[in-house]
Amino acid sequence: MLPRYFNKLCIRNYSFKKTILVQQKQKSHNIVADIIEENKITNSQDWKKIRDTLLGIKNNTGHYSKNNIDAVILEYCIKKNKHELGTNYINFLKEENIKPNLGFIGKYFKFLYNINKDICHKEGKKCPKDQEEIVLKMYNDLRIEYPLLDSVSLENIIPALSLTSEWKKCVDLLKEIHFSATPTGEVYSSVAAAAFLNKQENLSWDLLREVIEFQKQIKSVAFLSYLTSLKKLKKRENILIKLKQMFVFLKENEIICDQVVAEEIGTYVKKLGLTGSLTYINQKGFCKNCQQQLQKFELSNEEFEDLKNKILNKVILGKDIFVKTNPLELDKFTAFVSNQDRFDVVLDGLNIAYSVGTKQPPSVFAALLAAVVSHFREQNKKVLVVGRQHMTRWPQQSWNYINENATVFLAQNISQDDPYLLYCAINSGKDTIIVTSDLMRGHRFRLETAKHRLLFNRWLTQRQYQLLKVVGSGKPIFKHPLPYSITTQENGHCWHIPFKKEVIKDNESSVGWLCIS
Amino acid sequence: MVICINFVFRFLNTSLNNFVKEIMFLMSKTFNIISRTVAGTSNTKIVKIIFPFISERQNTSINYVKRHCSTVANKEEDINYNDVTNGDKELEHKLKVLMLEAEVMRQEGKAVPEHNFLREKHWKEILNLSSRSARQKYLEYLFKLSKRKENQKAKKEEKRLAFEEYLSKKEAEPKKEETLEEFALKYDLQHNNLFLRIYETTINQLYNNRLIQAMQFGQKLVIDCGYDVNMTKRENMNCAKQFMLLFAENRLHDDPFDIHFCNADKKSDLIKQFYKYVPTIDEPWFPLNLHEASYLDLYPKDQLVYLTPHCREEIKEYDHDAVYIIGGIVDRINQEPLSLAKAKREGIRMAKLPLDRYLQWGAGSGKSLTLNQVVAILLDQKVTGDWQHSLRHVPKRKLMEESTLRAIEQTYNRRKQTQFKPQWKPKSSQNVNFDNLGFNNRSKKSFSANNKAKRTINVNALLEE
Repeated sequence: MLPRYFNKLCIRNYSFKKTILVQQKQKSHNIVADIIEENKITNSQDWKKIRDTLLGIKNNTGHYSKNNIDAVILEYCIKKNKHELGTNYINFLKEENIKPNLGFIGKYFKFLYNINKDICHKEGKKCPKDQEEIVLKMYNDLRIEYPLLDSVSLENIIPALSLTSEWKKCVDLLKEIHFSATPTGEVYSSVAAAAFLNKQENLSWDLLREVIEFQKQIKSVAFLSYLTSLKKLKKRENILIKLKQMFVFLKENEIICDQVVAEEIGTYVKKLGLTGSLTYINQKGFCKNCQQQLQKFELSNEEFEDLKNKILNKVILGKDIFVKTNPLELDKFTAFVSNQDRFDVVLDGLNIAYSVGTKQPPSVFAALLAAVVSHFREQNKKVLVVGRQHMTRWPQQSWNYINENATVFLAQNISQDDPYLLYCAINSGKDTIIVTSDLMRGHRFRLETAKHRLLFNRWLTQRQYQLLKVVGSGKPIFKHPLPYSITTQENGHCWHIPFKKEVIKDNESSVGWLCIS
Repeated sequence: MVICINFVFRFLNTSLNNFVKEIMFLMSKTFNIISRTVAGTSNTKIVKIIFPFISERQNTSINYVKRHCSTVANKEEDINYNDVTNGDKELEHKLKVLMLEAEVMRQEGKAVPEHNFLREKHWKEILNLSSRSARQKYLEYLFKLSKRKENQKAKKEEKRLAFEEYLSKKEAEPKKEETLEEFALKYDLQHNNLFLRIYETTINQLYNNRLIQAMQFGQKLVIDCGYDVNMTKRENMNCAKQFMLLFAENRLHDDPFDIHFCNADKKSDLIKQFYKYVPTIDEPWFPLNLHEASYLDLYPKDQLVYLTPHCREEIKEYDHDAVYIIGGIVDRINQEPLSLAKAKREGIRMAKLPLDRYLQWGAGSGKSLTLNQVVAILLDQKVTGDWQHSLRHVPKRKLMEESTLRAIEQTYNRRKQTQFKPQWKPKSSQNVNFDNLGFNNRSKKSFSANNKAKRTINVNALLEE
C-alpha cells in the first residue's frame, strides 16, 4: 500500500517541476540580460562581439534582428539604470556608423530622461546644457524627417523634452498622442512636473485632473517636483497655503500617494518648523502621534441621490433588462420598495448562507441566516432579506423564523439578486447597513464615470458588514467597516496623509500614515 | 488517374495519342501529378508519348509562376490607402500614424510581423481596434501567424527538395523494360486492379443523402445566429468555424439532425465568414438551411426548447418531438447570460445539459463547451438515450483526472471502512457465553482488588509530592 503522505509527495513534486518550468521560461526571456551580464564590456570590440552573438542566436523566435537589436540593448540599460553602459553603447554605434532607426531614437530619448530625471525633479536643478542640446537637436531633426509621429515614440520623447527649456511643446504633443491612444500616467505626470517646476501651476493641476479622468495613475514625480518648486518660495505663509492646496487635491480625488512622496513631505515640513512624522492609526481612528480622531467622509444628500439613480439605470437595467431580471419582476420590485419604509439592515441572504461553502445541507444555510437575523432583531432593527425563490424550500423552522422576523424579497431563481440588494440598501438611506462579503466590483465597473465609482466605493466601504463566522452560541461575528476614511484629511490643526507602504510586513495594513502638526 | 490511363491504354490502343491528348487537356490543372505518377510507373511507352505535352506545359507553368510572383512582389511594396480607408482623409492620417506605431514597436523588439505580411484587411481591423494594447495584442497574434506560415513554407520546401532528390535518384537507376503484357498481368495498385476507386464526391453524396433524408424525417435542431453583435471579431471568426465543424459532425452521424441556422444576417461578419468556410451554402443541391427569419416564425412556440447553460432546469429525458435551440455564441470576453435573456424575453422553455449530474469537473478550465461538442452530445443522446455515453464528447482536460478520482474514491472507501465496520472484539455470543464458562471468581476479584490498591498507591505518591 502507498504511504499516507504519498499525495503530499506528489503535490510537492509537481509544484517543484512547475517552478523549474517557470524559471526556464523566464530565463529564455532574458537572453539579452544574460549575455550582457556574463561578459565584461570595456571597449567597442566587446560590444561588437555581444551584438554579433545576440544576432547569431538561433531559435530566438525572430525576436532579435538588425532592425531592433540596438533598441533592445538600450532598453536593458534603462531598466537596470546602467547609465555608463548605455552611453558606452551609443558611442559604439556612432563609431561603427550605424544609422539609428526611429525605435532606437525613442529609446535614446527615454535614456536621456532616465539619466536626468532625478537631478531635475528632486534637486530642482536644470538639465545639463550639452544634453539639453542633444535632446532639442534630435527632436527638431526628427520632426523634419517625420511630420507625423506615433504614440509610442511620442511617449518616449515627451518626458525627455519636458526637462528642457521647450517643455511647453509637450502639451501639444500630448494632444497628438490622443489622436491614436491615451497617454500613460507616467507621461502625463512628467509634463505636469515640468509645469510645476516652470511655475505654471494651473496647467499642471489641470493635467493631473485629466489623468484621473482617464483612470490612469498619477506618478510620484509630479508631487515631488511640486515640493521642489515650493522650495523657491520665501514666505512661510505662502508655502503653507501651497502645501494645503496639494493636500486638498489629494483629499478631493482620494489619492493615496507613494511612500517616497510622504517621506519627502515629512522632511520638508520639518524645515518649516512643523512636525511631520510617520504614525499609526488605531482601530477606533485615533492617531498615535497627535491623539486626534480621524474623520469619516459621508456622501452628501445630492451625491447619494445621484448614485441611487445611477445604480438603478446602469446596474439593474443595463442594456438589456432580461439579462439580469425581467420587466414583471422589476415592477414587482418597485412596488415592493415604494410600499416599505426604510430598513436598518439589508442582508444578502444567499451570500450569508453560502459563507461556509455551497456543499452543505440546507439546514446549515437556513440556520446561518436565521442566526444573523436574530442578532439584528435583538438590537431592535428592521431587517430586510434579499434572496431567491428556491430559499423557500429550506427547512421550515428556520425559514419561518426568518420570515416572521424580517421582511423578505425573493427574486426569481434565474435572476440576479445583487442589483436588488444594492438598490434596497441605497434606497433605505445613508445609515443602512448592508451585510454581504461581495465587494461588488462587477457592479462598480458598470457605473462608468470615475466620480460615481469613487462615490460607490466610499459608500460601500463605510456601510458594509462582512460575516466572518458564527460562534457556537449562535452569535455572528462581523468584519466591521473602519470608523474613519482612508483619505488625506485635516483634523483640528493636524493633517493626516495616507500612503502606500513599500515594504509590508505580515499582519500589517498596506497603508501607512503621515501626521503633520 | 493512373487506372484511368491504363484503361485507355488497354482498349483504345490505336487512338491512344488523341485520347491522352484529350485527358491532358481536361486535367491540365493536375498535369504535374500525372507526370510524376507516370514517371513512377516507368512505363516507357506512355512516358514517351506524354512527354512532349508535358514539356510544353511546363514552359507555360513557369511563365505563370513568374507572373504570379511578380504580382505578389508588387503587392508587397505598398498598401493602397484608399482601399483601407475608402478615401476618408482623417482615417488615412490615422492609418499612417498606426503604421508608424507598428514600425516603432517592431524596432523596439516587440512581437510585430514584417511589414509585407500585413495586408489591407489587417490594417482595416487594426483601425477598428480602440486601444493601443488591443492593437499590440492583435499584432502579436499576427506575428505568431506569420511565423507559423514561414515554418510551414520551409517544411514544404524541404519536402519538395527531398522528393526531387528521390526522383533524380530513381531516374539515374537503370529502367526496367516492361512489356504491355507484363504490365496488364500485374495485379496491384497502380497496375491492373479490379476495384473501382471510391472518390471523395461519392462519399460526399452519401453524407448529403443522409442529410436530405433527415430533412424529410429527422428531428429539427435550430442554431441561433443572432448574436453576432454581441461578439468581437475574433469570436465571430471562431463561431463561424464552429458552425462549419458542427455541420460536418452532424453529417457524419448515422442519424443526423435537420439543422436550421436561424436569425442569420448575411451582412454580419459571422455569416460572411461562414460563407468563406462553406462556399456552397447557396447552391440549390447543398443540404444546409440558412434562414434570415427567426425560429419563432418557423416552429410552434410550445415545441421550442432553448438550451442555455445559465438556466436551472436540466434536460431529464431527451424529448424527440422538441425543437432544441442552441445559441451561436462564443463568449470568451462577454460572459453575460445572453441566451437566457433572449429565451426569457421570447417566453420559450429553457433547459441545460445535465453536465453536473453525470460528470466530475476538474478545477480551472470552466464548463464551457463548443457548439460542435454540444451537437455531438445531442446526436448521441438522440440515438442512445444514455447520458454517460453521450457526454464523452466533453473534453477530458476539463474533467477530473482518473487518478485523482480513484484516489478520492479510495479515501472515501477507507473512511467508510473505519467508520461503519466496527473492530472485532471478543465478546459473548449465543454459542459462547463468557459468564457461564466457570472462571475462578475469586481470582477475578483479587485481580481487581490488586488494581485498586495500585491506583491508591499512585494517588498517595502524588499527594506526598
